[in-house]
Amino acid sequence: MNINFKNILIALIEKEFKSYLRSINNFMNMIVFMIAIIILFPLTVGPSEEKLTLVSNAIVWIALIVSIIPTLDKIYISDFKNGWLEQYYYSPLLLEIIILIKCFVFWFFLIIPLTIFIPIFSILLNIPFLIIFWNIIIFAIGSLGFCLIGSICSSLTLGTKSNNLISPLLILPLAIPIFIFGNGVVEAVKSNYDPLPNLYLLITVCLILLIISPLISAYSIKIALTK
Amino acid sequence: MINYLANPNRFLNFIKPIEFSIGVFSFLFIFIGLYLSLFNSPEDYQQGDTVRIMYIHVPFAWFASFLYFSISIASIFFLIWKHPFADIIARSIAPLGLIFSILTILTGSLWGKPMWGTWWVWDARLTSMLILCIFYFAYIGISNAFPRKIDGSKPAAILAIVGMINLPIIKFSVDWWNTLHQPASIIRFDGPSINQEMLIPLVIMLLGFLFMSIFIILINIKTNLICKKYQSEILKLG
Repeated sequence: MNINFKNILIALIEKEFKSYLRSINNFMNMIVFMIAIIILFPLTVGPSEEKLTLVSNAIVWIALIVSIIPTLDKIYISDFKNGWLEQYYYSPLLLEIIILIKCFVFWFFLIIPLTIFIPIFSILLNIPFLIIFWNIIIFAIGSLGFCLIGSICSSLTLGTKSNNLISPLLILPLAIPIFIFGNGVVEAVKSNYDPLPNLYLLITVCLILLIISPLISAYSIKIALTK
Repeated sequence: MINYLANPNRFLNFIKPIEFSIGVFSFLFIFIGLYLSLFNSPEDYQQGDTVRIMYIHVPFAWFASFLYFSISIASIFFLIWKHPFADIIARSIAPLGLIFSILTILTGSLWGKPMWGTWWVWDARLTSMLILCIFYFAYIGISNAFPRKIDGSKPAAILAIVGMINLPIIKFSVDWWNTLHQPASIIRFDGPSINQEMLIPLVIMLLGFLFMSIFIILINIKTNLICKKYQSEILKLG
């Protein structure tokens, strides 16, 4: 049987993109949530500049992570309910490859646009330009790993009664290496050290996740489908 | 041996005569160990009497991580051979491990307040122990999150195996990073560096905790087996 894989891939990416475009509400929710956190922090910490410069970078990171987590565990849930996942399972393509494509599309169309907001928030919080530049790079790399972790967690919680409570518990412990090395890069830049070793470690973590996550997610999706 | 005991009925028959004696052993060992550690062991030259928290803190910490290891082993058995009894064992271990990890953190912070001056530091060892606690919570959460309880077994088993990467991090965190927590003093390449008079009560306490956790896990396994039988009886009726 001759299958045109290129057409299938393009159709898949197009379908995913359209589904994200139609649920633009999720994206707007994320942005509103981020803005709320960014505004709340200076009000609760106090507007003095010395205090804010200590935590300003952390505030941007917390705003990004906390706003991503609620959407992260819903990568597969609508496809699972519609029956799309079953069709993927029976299609000639490997389920792992489809999962990888889904994660990439999620990352590219839903997470990467958030990088526009990093400079805006950073300027509001008086973060220097060099650190803004590194923040964008770390976020672009680290969020891919974050999406892959989210893929593991959302596939594990398919078909639960309420997956809202468990998902943060699953995501946070697995994502800790990303936070540690990402913070290592920023700290190195702040104190004029070489940030590259930490950046390489961050990339390593993401590459390992790139290999492991599709395998685990595919296995747990198969389990969820055979229930 | 494992094949023989994998049948729940044979397992129940096997543990029936030894179960009571395991309970007696655990009580005896913990009683003697507590007496030795509280009244018959030397004070530390720096820490004074607060060192005695160590005699329960170390067994709690060791068994918190060891029980997680056994959960993951049982999960591997469950995923490969799909034997439901391995799942029951893993489920029965989880609550005990959760309690042990919480008690590790509690006793550690009770010791840390007079010694380090803080209840908590974001140290590598302490943080990895907290993550172990979160993994226990996640394991129990996900294994009970499904409308049918059996559906949660496989996702929980996958989670247990994924969480196994945390165990070497806990063990070697004191060697890899500069931590406030003291480095390993019992399991080392050049033999234990702890004083003999302190080591003996600690080993007795560890034995007591081993028997106690086996005893409690056996009770949990029996309870879970009864629950499962009850549910299958209901299914037959309905």
